[in-house]
Amino acid sequence: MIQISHLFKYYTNKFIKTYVLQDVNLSVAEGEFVTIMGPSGAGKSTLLYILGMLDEANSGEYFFRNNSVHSLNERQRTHLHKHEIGFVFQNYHLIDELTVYENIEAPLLYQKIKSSDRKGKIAEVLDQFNIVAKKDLFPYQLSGGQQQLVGIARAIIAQPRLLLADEPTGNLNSAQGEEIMELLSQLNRQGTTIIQVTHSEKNAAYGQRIIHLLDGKVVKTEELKKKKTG
Amino acid sequence: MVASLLILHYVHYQKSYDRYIESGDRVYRLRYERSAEGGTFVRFSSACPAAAPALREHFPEIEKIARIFRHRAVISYQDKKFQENRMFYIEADFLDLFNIDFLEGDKDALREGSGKAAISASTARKYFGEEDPLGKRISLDQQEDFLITGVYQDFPENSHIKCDILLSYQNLVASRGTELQQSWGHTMFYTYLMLKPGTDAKSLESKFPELIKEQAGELMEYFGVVIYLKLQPLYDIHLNSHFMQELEANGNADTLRYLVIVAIFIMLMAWVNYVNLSTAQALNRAREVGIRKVIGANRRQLIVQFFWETILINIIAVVIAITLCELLLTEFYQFAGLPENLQFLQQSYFWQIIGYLFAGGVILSGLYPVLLLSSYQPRKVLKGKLGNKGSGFGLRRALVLFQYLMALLLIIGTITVSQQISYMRNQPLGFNMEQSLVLKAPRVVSGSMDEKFETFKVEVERLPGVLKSAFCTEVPGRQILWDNGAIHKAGDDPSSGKNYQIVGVDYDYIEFFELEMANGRGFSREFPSDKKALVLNEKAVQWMGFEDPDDAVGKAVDYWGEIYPIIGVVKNFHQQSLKADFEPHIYRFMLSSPRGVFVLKLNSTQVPVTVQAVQKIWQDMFSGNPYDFFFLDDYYNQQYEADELFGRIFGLFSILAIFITSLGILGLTAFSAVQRSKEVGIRKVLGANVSDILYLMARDYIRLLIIAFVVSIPLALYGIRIWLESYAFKMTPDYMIFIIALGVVGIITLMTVFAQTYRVATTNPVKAIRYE
Ligand SMILES: Nc1ncnc2c1ncn2[C@@H]1O[C@H](COP(=O)(O)OP(=O)(O)O)[C@@H](O)[C@H]1O
Ligand SMILES: [Mg+2]
Repeated sequence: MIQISHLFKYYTNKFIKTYVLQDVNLSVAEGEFVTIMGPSGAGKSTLLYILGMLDEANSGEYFFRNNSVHSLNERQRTHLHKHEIGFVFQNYHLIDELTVYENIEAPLLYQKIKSSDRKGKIAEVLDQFNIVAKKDLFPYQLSGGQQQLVGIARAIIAQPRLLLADEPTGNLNSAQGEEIMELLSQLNRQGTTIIQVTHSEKNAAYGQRIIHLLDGKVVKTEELKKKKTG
Repeated sequence: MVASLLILHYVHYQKSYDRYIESGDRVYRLRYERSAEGGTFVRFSSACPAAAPALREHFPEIEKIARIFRHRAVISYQDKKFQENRMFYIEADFLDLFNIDFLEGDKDALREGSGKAAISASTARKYFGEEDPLGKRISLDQQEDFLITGVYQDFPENSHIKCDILLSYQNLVASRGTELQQSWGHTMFYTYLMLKPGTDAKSLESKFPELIKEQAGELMEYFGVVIYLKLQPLYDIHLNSHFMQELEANGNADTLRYLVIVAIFIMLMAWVNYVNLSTAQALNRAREVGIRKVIGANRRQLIVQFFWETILINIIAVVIAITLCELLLTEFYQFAGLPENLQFLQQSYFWQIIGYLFAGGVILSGLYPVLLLSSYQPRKVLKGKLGNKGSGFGLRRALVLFQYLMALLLIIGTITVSQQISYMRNQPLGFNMEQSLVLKAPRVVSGSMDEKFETFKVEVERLPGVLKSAFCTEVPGRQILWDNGAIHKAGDDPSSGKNYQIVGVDYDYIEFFELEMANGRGFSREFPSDKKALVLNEKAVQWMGFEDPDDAVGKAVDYWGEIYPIIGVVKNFHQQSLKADFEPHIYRFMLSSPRGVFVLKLNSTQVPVTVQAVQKIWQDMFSGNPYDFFFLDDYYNQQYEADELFGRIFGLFSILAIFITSLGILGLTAFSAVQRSKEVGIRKVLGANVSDILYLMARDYIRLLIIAFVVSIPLALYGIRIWLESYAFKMTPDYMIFIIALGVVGIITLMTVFAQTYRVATTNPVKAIRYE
C-alpha cells in the first residue's frame, strides 16, 4: 500500500540545513498495523505528516496505492488525503466551537456527502463508539478519553484505508489508553491499515511491526511474532 | 471624527444665522398671510405697508418696529455704474434692530429727512475705492440723487438679510405715493419688530385679527379674503422659513437634521469599531488579566488600568482629529459652500463638541471592554477554556450588524439622492432653454419703453448669431414673484377669486421657449385685440374652474374688474425645478417692463462674438444701464445645487461609512484569522480546501450582512418616502439600488475577509497543529 524510498526532509535555518528525515525507506502492506517508535525529535511526526500528505518531503519517492504522491499536484494530493486517510492526534484537535456530532460530521462535509447519508454514517459511528449520549456536548465538556474517542470517530467516519495516529494515548491514563488501543486494533481487524506513533512498548505490542527511528533514520525494524488477526 | 466635526461645524454655521443680533430673541419678523374663500392661502415673508404704523400705534409692548422696502436699481457715481439688488429704503428703527455698526459718518442722519444714503464698507470700496464716500452723491437710475451720510460694516455672512445700500424712507413715500403706505393689500414691505422684555409673542399675535378687522375689514369683505399677520422669530428665519418673497434662499432644517444624524452615525460606527476590536483584543489579553488577578490585582485596579488606556487612545484620536480638521477646513468650506473666514478653532462650541466626543468616546468605547475584561474568571482563562465564541462575541456581531446597516442605508441614500437629481434633470421640462441668453431689462429708458424694447429685439435679431428673441417678466428657473389674487372666471361671484402667478410676455415668448399649446393660440401681431387678452396654463384653467382647455378658450377672465378673453392655453411646463409642483400661471401681454428680461436664442457656433455684438447694440440703445446677462440653462440648473451638495455630502459619508466598516471587519478578521488558525489547520487535515476555509471565515459576516440587508429595506423605503415628499415630481425608486448596495458592501466584505484569511487558508496545516 505504501512504498517509500530514499526520503529526505530538512529545514533550512539561516542557510543551515537540519535533516529531520534521512534516507527513509519503508513499505507498508494493506491491512497492516505498524508502530513507529523513537525518542522525541526523532522525526516520527514529520514522517507521519508526509505519509498523510499534509507535508512534503524534499526528495525521495512516495507511492500510495500505486499513485506516485511526489509527482501529484496539490489538488490530486488533497483528493487522496481527503478520501483515503484519517488522522488522530495526541491533543485530539477537536474543533472547540462544534459539538461532538458536528466534529464527526466535518470530514463528510468536505467530501460533499449528502445530508441523509451523513446522518446515517454518524449515527452508526456514534453507536459503535458508545457516545450517542454525548453527541450534543462540546469538546471541553468531555474527558480526555472521550475526546480521543471522538477524534478517532472523526478520523474513520469517511472510511479511510489508512489511519495515522500520532501518539493517540499520550495524554491519557492507562485505562483510557487501553480502551483506545483496543478500538484501534478492532479497526485494524476490520481492514483499516494503521500506522501509529507511540512511546509505549505495551501499545506497540498491538501492532505487527515496530519501526525504530533515531535522528531521522530508521535504525531497526522489529517484526512481532504474535499476529492479532481476526 | 474629523468628518463629524466638520459636519457639526456646518450645522452650527447654519444655525448661527442671525445670532449676532443683540437681544435677537425679542426680534420678530412680521409676516402677511391671505386666505381667499376659494381656498387659496398665500403666505408672505413680508408684510403690508399699513401694518407697521398700525401696530406701533396700538401696541405699546412693541419697543421698535421698522419697515424696509427693497429696491433694485442702477446706482451710478461718476462713470461707475452697478445694478444694485440689495438696496433698501429703511425706517429709522431698522438701524437699531439689526445693530448696524457705522464705521464712518453719522448713524442718526438717516433717521430724518430725505435724500440720504448709507452704504456698506464693501459697496463704498466698489464705488469710491480709496476716496472718502462721505458727502458724495450717488444717483439712482440717473433720476434721483442721494447724499452719502454713513458707511457701515458689511452684514455678516450668516445674516438672512444683507443690505448694501440703505436709503431714506421718505424717498420711497415720495416716489410711490402716500397711498401705498396705507395699503393692506400690497406686500413686499419687510417689517421687523422688537418686543419689550417679557412680552409674550403669541398673546400679542392673537390681538392682531381684531386690529386687522378694524382697519381693513372693508377691503377683506370686498375681495372676499381674510388677512392675517404673523410674528416669526428672527432665529427661525434662516432654517424654517420658505414663504413667498424671501430675501434669500434659506437653509433647510431637514437637511441639517439628516446631516446631524449622519455625523452621529459616523461617530458611532467608529466607536463600534473600537469596541469591537478591543473586545477581540480582550481575548488575547484575557490571559494577562487572568495572571494579574491571580497575583492579586483586584477588579478596581484592573478597571482603572484599562480606562487609562482608553483615555489615552481617545486623547490621541482627538489630537489627530483636530489637526486634520484644521488641515481640511479650507477644502471643506469650498465643498460645502461656506464663507472662508469662519474662526473654527477659536469658537467655544467647537471645544464643547470635542469635549462631548471625547467623553462619549471614552465611555462608549471604554466601558464595555473594561467591564468584560475585568469580569473574567481567572481560573477559566488560565485553563485556556475561553474559545473565540467567548464573551463579547454576541456583542461584536451586533455591532458589525449595526455597521452594515448604516453602510447599506448610506449607500442606498446616496444612490437615491443622485437618482432623484438625475431624474429631475432628465425629465422633459416642457420648454426649450438651450443656448438662451438672458439680459436684464434696462431700467432707464428715454422715450417710449415699448417701442425701444421692440426695436432692440429687431436690432439683435439682425445679428447672424441670434436666432430669435423675446421679452418677458420672468424666465423659467425660479418662482414667479408676481402674483395677483382675486382673479376669477368672468361672471362668477367675486368670492371665487384666487391667486395666480402672472407673467408678462410679448408676441414671441411662447414661440421662443417652444411651449406647447393645449388649445388656442399665443399672442399674435395679427390680432390687435390680443393686447387685452390672456393666455393661461393648464393648471390655471383647472384652478379657475374650467372643465378643460377646450372649455377655457373663448371664455373670459375677470381680472380686478376688467374682462380679458382667453385666447389660448399652454401645457404645463416646469417653470421651476421638479421640486416644485406646477402652479397656475396667467400670461398677460406686455412689451416692456423695467423688471423684465430679454431672452435671445443664440447660434451655438460663435457665442462670445455674439454676446459682444449684442452688448454693442445695448450700449447704443440703453446707455447708462449695465449689461447684465446670464445663460438660462446655468441659471435653471442652479436650482439643483442644494440637492447636489446634499448628494455629495451623503456620498462622501457613505464612502466613509464603508471605509470604517471595512476597517472594522479587517481588524476583526485579522484577529480571528490568528485566533482560528488552529481550527483552520484541523479543518484542512479533515479535508477542507482553500475555498472551504474562505467560506468558513466569511460566513459569519455574510450572514450578518444579509440580516442587515433585510432590516435595511423597510428602513430605507421609509426614509426614501419621507425624503421624496419634498419633491413634487418624484422618481419611482428603483429596487436595483438595494441590490447594488448589498453588492458593494458584500464585495468589500469578501475582499477584506479574503485578503486577511487567504494566508491562513493556504499555510501548511502542519504548522498550526504541530505544537500545542
Ligand atoms: N518547521 C520546522 N522548522 C524547523 N525544524 C522543525 C520544524 N518542524 C519540526 N522541526 C524539527 O524536526 C525534528 C523532528 O520533529 P518531529 O517530527 O515533531 O519529532 P517527533 O515527532 O519524533 O518528536 C525536531 O527536531 C523539530 O525540532
Ligand atoms: Mg511528535
